[in-house]
Amino acid sequence: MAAGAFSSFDISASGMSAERLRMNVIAHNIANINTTRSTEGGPYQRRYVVFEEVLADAGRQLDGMIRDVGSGVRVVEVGRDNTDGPQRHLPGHPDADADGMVRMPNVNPVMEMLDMMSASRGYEANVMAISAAKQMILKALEI
Amino acid sequence: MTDISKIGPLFPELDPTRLGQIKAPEGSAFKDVLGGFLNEVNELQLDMDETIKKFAAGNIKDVHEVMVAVEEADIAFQLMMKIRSKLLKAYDELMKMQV
Repeated sequence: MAAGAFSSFDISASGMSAERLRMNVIAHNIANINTTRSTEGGPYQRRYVVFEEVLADAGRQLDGMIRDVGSGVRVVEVGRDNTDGPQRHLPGHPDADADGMVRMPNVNPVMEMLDMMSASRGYEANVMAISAAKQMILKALEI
Repeated sequence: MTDISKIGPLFPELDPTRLGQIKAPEGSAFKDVLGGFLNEVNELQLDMDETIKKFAAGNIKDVHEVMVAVEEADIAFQLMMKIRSKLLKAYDELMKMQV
């Protein structure tokens, strides 16, 4: 019973975990918006997450639940955006080159804010999906 | 003229001489099904306890994991209570039966 009745909970929970991780990545990007020294050297490079769908594995397929229904999402990769960021003229900066130019991170605050909204709305949508699934089960208890 | 033939019992399975041979129906008994169901509900409650403990100890990063475990345990418990009241209703009806 547990795996069958509550599988939609687990699917939505995987979506919530994925959105939460995406939120962490966005927070990391925003925190490093002025970082000129990354661990690899050079300015910080914007991180992005890559999601992948998860199909129901054979063991969890229950009474006629076909594999294509799937069982959620997972994060496969946190990638780095290696495009160049803007250059700023800061001659006094320790990371400035001979011309006094500093290469800044390629983080765009507007893009990050948009991603942040999308992540938090995505999380909310998963919460709604869980409460709808819960309402369906509770309706069945009224029979 | 033919002999009078013996009249057979109407329900051979009710033959009093064979009463000892009657077997209980095969398959899982009702109480086994109910017991298994109760065990599953209990397991969900224990899962929930475990998750809450882990969360309190700081071993869980996702708050929603805790909430999902609590909801699962709650719904399973409600379902169990519904079944309990249905069973008690059936028992009450039997008790009210005129003999």
